[in-house]
Amino acid sequence: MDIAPGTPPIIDWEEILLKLTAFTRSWVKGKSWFRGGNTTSFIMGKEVDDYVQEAIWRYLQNPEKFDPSKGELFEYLAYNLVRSFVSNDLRKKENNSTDDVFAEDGQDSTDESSTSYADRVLPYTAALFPDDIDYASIKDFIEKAIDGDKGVENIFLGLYTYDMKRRDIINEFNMTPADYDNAMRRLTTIMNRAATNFNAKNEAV
Amino acid sequence: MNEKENPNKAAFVRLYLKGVENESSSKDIAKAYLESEGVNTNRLVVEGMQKIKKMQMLAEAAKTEKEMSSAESVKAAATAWVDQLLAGVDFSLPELVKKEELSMSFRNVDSLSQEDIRNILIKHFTLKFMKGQNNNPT
Repeated sequence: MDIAPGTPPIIDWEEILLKLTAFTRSWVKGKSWFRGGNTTSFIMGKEVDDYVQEAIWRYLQNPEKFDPSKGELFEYLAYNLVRSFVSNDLRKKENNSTDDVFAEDGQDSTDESSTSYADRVLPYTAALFPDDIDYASIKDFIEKAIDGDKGVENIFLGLYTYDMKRRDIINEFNMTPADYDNAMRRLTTIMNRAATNFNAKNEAV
Repeated sequence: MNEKENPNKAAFVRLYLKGVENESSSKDIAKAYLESEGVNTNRLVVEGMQKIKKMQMLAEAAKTEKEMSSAESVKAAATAWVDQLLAGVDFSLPELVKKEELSMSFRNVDSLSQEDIRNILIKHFTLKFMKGQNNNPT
């Protein structure tokens, strides 16, 4: 059933709260991974919870701005609102270590773009990571680390090489959702380690 | 991000984002992820829901205030419009009644005082402006 913009949906706030906190925590981690050291300037004294509450508050003030045709409420909160609050902080001069500084939308970016909420987050995620990193080396590191772990290898192949979706990887490699989640968790741990290793190398240079 | 200039970064970012999306792909997965990070999810939910309830009440109060304020400003616009109409040298109540399809309300027009007519018209135009049928009457 289509729901018109502005129609109050039935909201499971507990689910939204948990998912949004997980998203925000996991997403902004990218910053501390690669920039290391002084991260307080990035969060401007804010905690993950502050971004989550700010997004929910913004939605409650203007629920009509959420357009269900562009995605679910969680996606609006995460990919549109949290994303914009974090990226606004990223624009602070002291965080400027990437060229991906959203020149196209300059201001507060809770935009009314026609793209889906999910599509909007990629360029902002890229801006979490500086440009002057040897990403090919990170890829090599990850490939060596996952060698022999079939589940993780399949996920890496599907996500990194073919840009596949979760359900497609599960189908393609005959995995269960639990297999996927466990393997994804192992891959995330390895990515974390790769980033830490890279940071150490970068600082030595 | 220019994918052509830095394809390795683009691919890495996509991979990173898939990991983030997976951590929040369901309530249970999100909860498990947060707990693996040392977050007390019970406390998070209790405190978070309290804050959300408070925000809902504040948002509702702000909305009510905004609606009341908006209604007042529309009424003021309608009043100014009616006063301008009544002051016009060519004002004709019968014509207005016909134009605005107010015949049912004006059966006993002769028995209405000027103030009654003014109040009825203000009410009519307030509702009309609020419905957006005639926000710019000329």
